[in-house]
Amino acid sequence: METDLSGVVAGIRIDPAVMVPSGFLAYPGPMKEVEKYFGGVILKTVSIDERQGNETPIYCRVGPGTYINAVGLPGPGCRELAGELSEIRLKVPLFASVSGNNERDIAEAARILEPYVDAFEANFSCPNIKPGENVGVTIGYDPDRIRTNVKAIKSVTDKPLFIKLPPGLYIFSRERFLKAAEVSLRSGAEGLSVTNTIPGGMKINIHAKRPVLSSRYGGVSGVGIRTIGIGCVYTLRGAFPETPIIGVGGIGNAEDVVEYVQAGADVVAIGSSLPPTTAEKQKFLEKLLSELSSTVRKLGYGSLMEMRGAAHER
Amino acid sequence: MKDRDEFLPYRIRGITEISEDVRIFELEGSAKVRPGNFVILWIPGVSERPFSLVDNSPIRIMIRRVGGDISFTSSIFRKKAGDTIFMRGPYGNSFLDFYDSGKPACLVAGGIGIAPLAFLAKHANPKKTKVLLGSRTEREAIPCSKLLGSLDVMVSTDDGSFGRKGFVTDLIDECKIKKGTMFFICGPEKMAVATAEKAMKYTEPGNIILSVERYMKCLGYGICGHCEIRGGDGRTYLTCSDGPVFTYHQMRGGDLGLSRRTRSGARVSV
Repeated sequence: METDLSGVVAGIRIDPAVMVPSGFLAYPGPMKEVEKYFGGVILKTVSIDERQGNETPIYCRVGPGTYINAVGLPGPGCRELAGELSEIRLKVPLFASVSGNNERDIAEAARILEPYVDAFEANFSCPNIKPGENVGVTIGYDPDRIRTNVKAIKSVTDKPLFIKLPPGLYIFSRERFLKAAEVSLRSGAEGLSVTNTIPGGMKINIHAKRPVLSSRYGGVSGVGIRTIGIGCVYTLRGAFPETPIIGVGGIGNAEDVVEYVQAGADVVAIGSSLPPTTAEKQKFLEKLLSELSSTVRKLGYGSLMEMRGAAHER
Repeated sequence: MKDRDEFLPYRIRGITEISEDVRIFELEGSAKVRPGNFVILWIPGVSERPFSLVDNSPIRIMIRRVGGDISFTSSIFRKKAGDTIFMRGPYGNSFLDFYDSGKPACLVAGGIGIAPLAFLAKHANPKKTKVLLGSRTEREAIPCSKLLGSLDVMVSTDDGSFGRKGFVTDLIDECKIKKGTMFFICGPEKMAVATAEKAMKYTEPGNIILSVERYMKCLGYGICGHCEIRGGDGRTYLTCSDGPVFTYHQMRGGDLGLSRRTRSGARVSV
């Protein structure tokens, strides 16, 4: 019998329970090349208007499967993205990640993308924000702004909304992190997504004696942040036993997926570990999924989700 | 290179002025870079940009100055011999992944597109290789005798101020191309597509090899998706890691020559 690797979040079946996280591969075209290995995809964060993002270097690989980035939310704008989504249809459930400088803008972005997607993720956790911008972590750190933004999005869509919470809040205070989660859910969000990149990473090139990223600081992703991601999921699952949770951060193999699920994730997402070429990505994912099946069986289970939250049981 | 993802310092050994806006920068040391691969040059405080090499031993990079005074290429043009720049790489695939020394080859360059093709020419069989070089005017033509050694070279300019008058595509019919010739093309996108279409008279699309340029953000890691290009074969490719070298079989009828993404990700006509 085949091992069941599916997960369900807010009524959406994700099979296998592995998604493309927001920011990776960005557009429907490159996602289509790998969609057969994923149960769903989360598009790159988009705003109502076109944004240029930061000047390069905006990515720096600092070790195996580990990056810092300060991309700065570039994007063509949600109208252009909607046009692309009408051209390239993906077979798997599609989540749009939305951002906006105020409640009106973020709701408008969601309204425009609504016909093309199955669910939304609100990016309240991008750390690469310029002074004066009211996006990303500036929302996630402020319960009042979480409330107004969630309500604004839910006023234009009945589709499930996941809030991507800032890991900086979790590191600073688990109480405040849980408060942000609680406000998100009480304001109408259906689920939670953790973790975004961890702010404040820096790579100095010792030959140039200068930080590599143009904005000097960047969010850390990949292997190095997995323990924080696991901690975020575990903390949320402990407080919200029934809430759908997407776990992301530093997953590089099948055992990492199982670890997130045992912490309490309903589905996971994989980004920084993916190798460069499309063919290498396909091979990597094929191997990961096959190992995931055998790992689940070896641990004595028939399905991945039987282990959901297992680390909480006494 | 020790770790291709780390910027390492390279001293500029010499600078050769090719034309007013084109220079070749020769760096100290060598690099395991193949023809068609690209490297990332970084000027701290300015930005990073991808370039292909003219040669790897010594490292030679041909750069055309574009944009205003604050552009990356203008900043490089202010560098002098003895100054240091930073480089990581190589990334992407190579013309040599496709090159077959047993088959006749025709290298077709538009303007500065000669850079990676001159590197390929070093590996090519001189008896079976022709080079066609087009530019708009004599002023923009790249004097290439030193770059291409003893290879059979034909030159055209749009206005006839240097070499034959006309487009580089016109040269193809004039130079007695054998059936089954492999074409290697690098240049402005419209020129590359027109050349590939002309080459279809002589060979299969799988024998027509093009170097493609797209705006890259992660620059070689294959994670951001920004440099995606839709092929004509129904697939989408990442220019920075699946390419930048593709066959016309992959590209024909896709985005090439039609649309590309800008820095924000907005799609515009080529």
